[in-house]
Amino acid sequence: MKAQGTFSLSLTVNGTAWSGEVPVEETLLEFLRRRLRLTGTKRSCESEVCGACTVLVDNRALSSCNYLAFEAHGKTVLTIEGLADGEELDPLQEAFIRNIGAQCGYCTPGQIMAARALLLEEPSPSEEQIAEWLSGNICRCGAYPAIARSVLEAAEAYRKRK
Amino acid sequence: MEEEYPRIDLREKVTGAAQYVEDLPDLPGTAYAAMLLSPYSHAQILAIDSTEAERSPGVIAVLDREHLAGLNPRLKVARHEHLKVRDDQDFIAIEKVRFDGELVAAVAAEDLRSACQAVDKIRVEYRPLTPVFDATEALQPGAPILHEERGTNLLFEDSLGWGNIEEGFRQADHVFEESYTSPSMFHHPMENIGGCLVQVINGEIDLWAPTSSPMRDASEIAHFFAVEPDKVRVRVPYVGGGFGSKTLVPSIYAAVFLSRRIRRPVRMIPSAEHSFRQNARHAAVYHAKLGVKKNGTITALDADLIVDTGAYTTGGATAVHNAVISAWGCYRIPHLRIQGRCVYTNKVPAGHTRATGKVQTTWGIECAIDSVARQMGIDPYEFRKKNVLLRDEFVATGTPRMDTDYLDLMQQAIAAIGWDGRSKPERPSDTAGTGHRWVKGRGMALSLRHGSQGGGRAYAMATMDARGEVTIQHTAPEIGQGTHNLIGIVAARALDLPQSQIRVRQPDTAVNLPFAGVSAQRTTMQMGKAVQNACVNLKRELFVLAAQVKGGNPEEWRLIQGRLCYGEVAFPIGEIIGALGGSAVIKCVGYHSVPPTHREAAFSGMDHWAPSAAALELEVNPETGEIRILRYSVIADAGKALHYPSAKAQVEGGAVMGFGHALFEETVYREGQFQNGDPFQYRLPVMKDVPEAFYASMLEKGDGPGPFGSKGMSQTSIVTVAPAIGNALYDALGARVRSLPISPEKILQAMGKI
Repeated sequence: MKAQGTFSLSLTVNGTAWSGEVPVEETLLEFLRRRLRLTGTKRSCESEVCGACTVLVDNRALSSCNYLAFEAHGKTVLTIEGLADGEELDPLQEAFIRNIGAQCGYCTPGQIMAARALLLEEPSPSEEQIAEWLSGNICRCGAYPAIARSVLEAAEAYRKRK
Repeated sequence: MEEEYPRIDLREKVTGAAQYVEDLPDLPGTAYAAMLLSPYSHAQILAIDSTEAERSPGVIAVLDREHLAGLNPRLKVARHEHLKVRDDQDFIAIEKVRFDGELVAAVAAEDLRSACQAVDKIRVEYRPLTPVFDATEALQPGAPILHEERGTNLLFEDSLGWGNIEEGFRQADHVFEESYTSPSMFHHPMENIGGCLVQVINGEIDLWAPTSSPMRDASEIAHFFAVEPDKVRVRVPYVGGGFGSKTLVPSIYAAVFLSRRIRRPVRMIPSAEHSFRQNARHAAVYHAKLGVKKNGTITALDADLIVDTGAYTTGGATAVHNAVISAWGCYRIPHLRIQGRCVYTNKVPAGHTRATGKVQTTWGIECAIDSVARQMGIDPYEFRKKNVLLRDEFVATGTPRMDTDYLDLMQQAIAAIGWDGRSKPERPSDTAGTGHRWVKGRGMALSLRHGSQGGGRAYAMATMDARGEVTIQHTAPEIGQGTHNLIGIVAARALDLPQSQIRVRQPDTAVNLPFAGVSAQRTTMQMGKAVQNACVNLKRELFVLAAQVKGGNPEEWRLIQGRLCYGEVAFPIGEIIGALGGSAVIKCVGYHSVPPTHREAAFSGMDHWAPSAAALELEVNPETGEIRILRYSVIADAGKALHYPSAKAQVEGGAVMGFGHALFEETVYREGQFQNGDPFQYRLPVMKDVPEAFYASMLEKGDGPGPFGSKGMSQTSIVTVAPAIGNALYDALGARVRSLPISPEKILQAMGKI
């Protein structure tokens, strides 16, 4: 096998600092799933179309399939595994359970992370804003109405919490 | 009260803890497999040279037609109770490739990159042949033949009939002919099709795969590799959606083959482009001739169906049979003749798809009914009310009597969108004066599917331990519908225990509990009844034991809210089961049998009917052909939903997929290739596509034959979307689109504008 370039990466994932050598071509998705065994972030289209691999990097939602791990150097990554506070679920997670915002569940971590980014940017989104924002996250089970309800309810819960 | 308990699979799904096959950790020594698929839709393979690939770094083994180690590559086609089908597909291409995406070679390597690099080094020499992508063309003389030994692209024919078709048309005052076509489409589960993890231990093939029917798959693998059935074990973690697509596809056979050959675990990781080439929905042509009396009574239906199964039989038998037995819709038709032909084309082979065969025929019959009523000057709602089958009416030999109330379903569907059901009066297709004004229209559609179909007996096993906790073992995968939650609810209700005391295991064929799989709307009915039966048996055993330990007769004991009661005295379950000593568990198996299959009755083996009604309001721009769906309602007869929010989610989800089928989904084949087999080009419904007023609900009269008055209903909502749109479009414009998907271009064509 030919020698591959590596990069000395330091970043924070779900509140924990990580440092080490990674191949330059390793995607953030591969890094999270294979190196850190954070498999909640899903691989699906690998072309930045479906949103299943959405994570937050410095509070911005992005597709980890088309983002190289080294690009996250010095940054803070939040995945679905980092959303709950121990046993206490995030309001988004609770709302998704209550409304059956997940069916097969494969797109769910991406939906929730994308919704998290939306609520950071816009704490009181309208239904139109939710539909616009989440139209980059495909749910083939068609749980869209329930996902939209979940995000609306979670927004309210976040606001109450503050 | 029980419905307050959260659906049991969702906590794991919203926290990222739920594991799908690709999330399972590697086994010690796992090798990675990659696939080489055919770039041609039809070609002869002249030579395969894998020398360079075998020498590529990290490569452990190459699989192609030259490396079969004596294995017969022919797959066993899914058998069908009513049709004779022949095995026609090899798991890996031998002499020819017959579709863009057919598996030509696979490589096992130390890591995925090495495997992919090696695949690129396999040299295949093809001699391209002319492909045929249209089933009607494939039946013409001189069409390219896919399977030379058959001499024709026609696989088989199926038919259904009653009455006397000639007499039916003699009684008719008017005869109408209508044709409707549906394209091939792709299921597109978010978890790609064809992935797996497999190892072989002590000769046992140990497979983790996303599949809807692990028991059937285990037996097929055993047959294929010529091992005893008990030497194959299939486990199914969470499945990332299926819609009929998650079956044993060639890539899984390739992984098993490689694992046996290299004596190491093998992991197959398909890309989205691979996934697009593993399965499809059947394209179909629906042609109907309808005879109607002056007063609007249907006298005869003569329908001809052409069903395109792609390059191999795959799900062709079920698709054609389901299309044939559903092509008459839900109407009283005294004289009937339906014929269906299954045809090969050079497309990705089509398996089963959410409401297999029925999406295509409902699009046909429900538009035809609307069109005929309009041509006769009868309001389509009145026409439906006059001809639709009513409760307790005889339907056909081998079926239950009609067990729903269509008039209620229709009434609820139209009321939900604020419509009285009346269509606009008939007028010519003249919108010249409308300028850029959007025009509104409303339409409805009904559907009927045979519910809980076939598959033999379903089994489940219940085990109660001394803590009073109950574990249910079964082989029904959780693929998104809430199967495991449903099992938990049935067990809790049957045992009068809180749902928190029920554990539902992931499917594992090692328990040897047959079940045909989570398809054909059978899970609620068949698995639900099997679980209920297992729990009833468990309770009986518990009472026998209680009588032995504490006295009295078993019949005098009761299980109330987790306590064993005898008269006024109550004992904890643990005290009774603990008396067994040792392992201290009670274990019981339960089953459900579908009605027996009769060869002569086309509908055999069904428990109930599964109907729905839908109403839709849209607006269309007559200058551009753009459509906006304003309101949509669909009402499914659920008998009684066992978990209302999950059932509602199924109804909503089916309708959302229906919008895709109706408005934009289509696999496109041109210039010899599959043109849009990737996530960039294949358009799927997104959140913005959901109409603002979207009402999905259920008729619940508690009269289903399933546990606690339930029945299967999950496939009823997808089928009504396209005809409701087609009929509403006609209501708006007086123009009818007869081919799916209903694109702006087709609308303008139907209006005669282009």
